[in-house]
Amino acid sequence: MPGDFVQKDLAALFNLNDMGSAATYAGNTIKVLFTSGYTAAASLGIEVESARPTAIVMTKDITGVKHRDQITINSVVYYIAEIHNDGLGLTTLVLSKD
Amino acid sequence: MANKRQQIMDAVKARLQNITVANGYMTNLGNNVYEWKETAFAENEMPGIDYRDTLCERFSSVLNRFRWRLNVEIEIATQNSTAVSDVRKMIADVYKGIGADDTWGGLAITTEQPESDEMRVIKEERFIAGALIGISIIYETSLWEN
Repeated sequence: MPGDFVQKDLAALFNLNDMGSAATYAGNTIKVLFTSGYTAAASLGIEVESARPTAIVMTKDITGVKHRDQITINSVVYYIAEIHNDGLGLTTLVLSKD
Repeated sequence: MANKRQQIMDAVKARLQNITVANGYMTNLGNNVYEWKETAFAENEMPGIDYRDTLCERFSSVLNRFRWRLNVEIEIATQNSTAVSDVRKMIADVYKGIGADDTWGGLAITTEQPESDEMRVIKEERFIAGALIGISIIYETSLWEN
């Protein structure tokens, strides 16, 4: 089927020995690409050190995902704040601890 | 002896540091008080206050006595899942603290009640909520003093 190679290659991206991390979502262990880059949140002149954790997952692993669902990565429980499905097999989850 | 403006700002700091639950307030905002904070609030510095004296205007003079309006900005920052309701309590605590003695121990004539305050919420790794309160402290000095 056209495009199959993309789906097969995606799995290699999530190799736990490379960039991938194990996560728990809806009772299942899935693989994610997790980042948590620093950001200085600023508003009203107030600056706060913060981070912007995101997890890229294979869309098929999070069927039915919705806002406020929980996902555990590196023993930290996050809530899903934003869901960006690229329509090509990957979804980026923006995460929050609150 | 410090000049009047410095004495007033010292009194502002002491008053803000007094905002603790043990002193009858709703929050412990006074545990992290900074003057003209140069760095972003770190997680262990919140809830916290950053205050700064900005514009100081002379607005009247009578018989070589000069009245000044010192504008002080008070910023509040906190983060967690209850940040929004916490900030509302913190705003109330700041007002209560100022209202306890708006002459700052007799250093000032009065402190003008703010016409407004402003809250903001940012959603990052955690809920971050903050508020900005502006007060004006009216005080008097002699000629060429501040």
